[in-house]
Amino acid sequence: MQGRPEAPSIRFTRRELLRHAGIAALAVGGLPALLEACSSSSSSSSPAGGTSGSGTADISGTTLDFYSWQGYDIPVKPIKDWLKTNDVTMKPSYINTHDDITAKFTTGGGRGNYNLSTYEAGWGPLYIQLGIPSVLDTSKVPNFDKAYDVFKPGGTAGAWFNVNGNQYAFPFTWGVQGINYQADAIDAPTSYKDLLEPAFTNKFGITDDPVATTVIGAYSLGMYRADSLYTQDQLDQITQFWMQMKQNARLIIPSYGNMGDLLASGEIVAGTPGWAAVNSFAADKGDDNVKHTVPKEGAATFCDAYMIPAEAPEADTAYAFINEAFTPEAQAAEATYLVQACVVPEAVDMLDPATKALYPYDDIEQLLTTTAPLEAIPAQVPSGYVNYQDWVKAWESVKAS
Amino acid sequence: MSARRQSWGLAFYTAFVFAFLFVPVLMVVLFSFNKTASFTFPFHGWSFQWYRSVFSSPDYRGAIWASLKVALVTVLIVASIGTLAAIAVTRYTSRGREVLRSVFLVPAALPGLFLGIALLSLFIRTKTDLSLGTATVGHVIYTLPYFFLVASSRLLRFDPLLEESARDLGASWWTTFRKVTLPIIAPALIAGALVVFSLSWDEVLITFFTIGSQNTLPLLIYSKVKQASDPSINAISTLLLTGSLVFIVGVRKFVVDIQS
Amino acid sequence: MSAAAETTAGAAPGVRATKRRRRSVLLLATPALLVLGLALLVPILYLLYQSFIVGLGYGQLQNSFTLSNYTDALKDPVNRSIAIRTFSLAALTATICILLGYPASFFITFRLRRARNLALFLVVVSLFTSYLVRLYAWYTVLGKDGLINTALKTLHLIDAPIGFLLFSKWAVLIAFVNVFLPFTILILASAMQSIPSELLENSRDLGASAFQSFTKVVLPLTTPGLVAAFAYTFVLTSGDYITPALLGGKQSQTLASIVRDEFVTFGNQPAGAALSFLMVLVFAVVYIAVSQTRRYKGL
Repeated sequence: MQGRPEAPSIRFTRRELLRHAGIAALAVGGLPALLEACSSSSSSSSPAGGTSGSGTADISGTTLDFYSWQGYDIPVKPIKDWLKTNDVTMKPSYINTHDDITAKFTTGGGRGNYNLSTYEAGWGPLYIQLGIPSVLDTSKVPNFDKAYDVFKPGGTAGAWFNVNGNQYAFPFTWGVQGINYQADAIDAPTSYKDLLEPAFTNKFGITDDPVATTVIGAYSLGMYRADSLYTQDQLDQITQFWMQMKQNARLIIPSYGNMGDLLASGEIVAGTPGWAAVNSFAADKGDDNVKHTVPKEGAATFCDAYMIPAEAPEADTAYAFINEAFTPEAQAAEATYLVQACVVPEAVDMLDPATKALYPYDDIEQLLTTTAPLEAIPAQVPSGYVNYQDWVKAWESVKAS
Repeated sequence: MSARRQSWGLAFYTAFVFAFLFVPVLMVVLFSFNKTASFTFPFHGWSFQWYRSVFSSPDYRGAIWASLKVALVTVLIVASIGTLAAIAVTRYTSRGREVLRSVFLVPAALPGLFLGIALLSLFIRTKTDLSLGTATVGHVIYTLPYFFLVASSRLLRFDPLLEESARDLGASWWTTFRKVTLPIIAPALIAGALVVFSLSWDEVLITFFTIGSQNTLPLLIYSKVKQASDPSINAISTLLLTGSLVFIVGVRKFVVDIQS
Repeated sequence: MSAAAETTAGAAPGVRATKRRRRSVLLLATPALLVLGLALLVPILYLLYQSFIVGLGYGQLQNSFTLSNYTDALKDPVNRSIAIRTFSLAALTATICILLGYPASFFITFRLRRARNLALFLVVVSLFTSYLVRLYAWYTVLGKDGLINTALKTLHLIDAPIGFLLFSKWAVLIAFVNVFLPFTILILASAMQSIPSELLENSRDLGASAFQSFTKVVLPLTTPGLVAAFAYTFVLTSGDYITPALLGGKQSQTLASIVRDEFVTFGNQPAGAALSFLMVLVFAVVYIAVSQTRRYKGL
């Protein structure tokens, strides 16, 4: 009886509902029951489970249960101010690898517990298949219109997040993964293969990230494919490459955050796959001389987007946060903090020259389409090619070697 | 070798063992006062900033509160069912006793990872929402053997003739328990409760799998340790260490006082 | 001891009452048994069931019977090499803990009187710092700018820092021993404390040397403690994937990490379940093997 009203027969159902509720109310003598029947029959069915109305919903006192990379909760001034003004609490749980997100929202009991998360472009197809992100109401994030066209539906990057007319996530940042290094100790490596030299024996670390390592391995061996379709033979070659690298390395680094510690304390002089944010992590430890470089073979390019997981409670808070994250001020502050690129042109103008020079904003279209297309993971592949599970198994054998 | 020299040799050896046991603890305490965020030498000078950051951080406050809730509920449940179980096993005089005893000790023989994934699988299957409550279930299972060991070892040393005499004199089972058994085994039960509390407080493997979106303190520290952490984790550990010491010394004094 | 007391002291008229009391005492164990049944037995049985069905990844299961989870786990060469690494490290840790802890427990139990409780208390106190924070403290001790290297450099004993102390299996071993040595000492001390002191005195009176007293009296009577300490350390060390991940360097994978990955990264519960049960099987075998030392009654 308390089902969602179907579109054609709303009036009939509502009347039915009221009639039943009225009788029940009379029977029980409860006015509250009658009121409840009225209000529940007028709830709309918004895709993400929130009430309609863009940004005018009352979100004060709510919590943002955030599950993603450290830093993507953007602890910078514009956002902190916004959280305070709107009386929203940010409760972040940080991941170590992207697989943590997959696990959390499939077998890890995270469904219904988090209202904000992210995913990287290449994971889109798999996540949509597994039903992890909810379909988003773009009218609730008007600030997304300010982004570069390449990130909007129809654009090269945007196509990852808008499938069959449904928007599953809003891309808000992108970057490249190359090599982080201690500028005090060494010059920037020009090639991944530099790390195989005796000069680097026992002096660098390899991050435990099966996606980035496979992609970088493909770049190093000159076999990179934007559609991420590799044969078993090619994967074996990539595995061999990393086993050689590991022989010369000091350790497998558990996380990017850890890499910052290790570079700052001098336990290693370089780390790959890298992340520009590691420079900030090291700076937090007092070392301002950790830098990031893109070797000549190329770098894995990623683009992360905010998603609202399916069955998320308090989706309105998440929408409001995402909308705020797309204001130029927040985008600029976040780009500076994460040392990553932002997606809103007005924000790029607000960046200081040094930060702006880090990424080729003048020609984003060219970059993301041709030079360094976004890394993808092979979810469903035609026969003859390896899928993502094979990538991880191969990486596990590298770690065990 | 004379017994004397042997004893001195052993004494020095034991001192070295203790030194080894405390080296990490000392480093934790020392670096909790470090002026910079570094974990390595040289030591940059004394500062309370990490203690201040612990007190002012809502993450830490939330995690401490969550850990406290889980630990207290665990202690209550384990102390009640554990005491009853220990009495049952030590008073049950038959060959089945050893079997029963082993049953209660089984969870200690299983790694936390195993317990955690077993519980998680069941929770997923029964579509139970993960929360502090589900984490508490894991803690109860994990700590029960330890409480049981402490309680039953005390009960074994407890002369049953004391109970027999009380009952011969006409006291009911419950009165005997309340006025004879309980006061004598109380210190052991308290010790067991403290063991359960500290085990629950430090548990991370099972909790990782069975908790919802909340963080207990060890989970918060775990995520910090795996990422870029700072000596605030040292500060909170030093605080807890000091707190436990004060608490235990206080409890001991209290127990000694009520016993005399 | 109390069993003997009851049967010899139990007079005929009280026998039925005793039997009734025995059974009613058993009832006291029901709450604990219920909890264990629901929260331990049922999950383990369900996990066992899962190990025999097909897992498709990402939490999807197929309800058909298969032995492939077990056979794949056993056939995989990665699993085999990691298993050897994991279990040998665990056995080494347990052995070192016993070798290091035995003399200390002996000293505390037999050579300290008033200080004994304080010493045991101190052992317990060393466990009051969070296990994870103590792990991280090893960076401070073993790192290039850590305690050991800084001390050795100040004493001019080395020029360049020693690198292999950290991010190696030595670091993992040191960290494991540091965690499990207190438990070993406590278990052994408890076993030693239950040896009546008259036994030792009598053996000395009868002319045995200190060494003979040790090997014929103390050692055999403490074998249950040795077995317990070894088994406990072995099992828990094998199941720990955090310490190797943080301190192991290139040897950062253990069998436990693979189990965790099956569950978390692959979402393949059946494979993870099968591997965990194989591990439990190894634990059982090791426990039985080590328990055989209980037959040791003296040289």
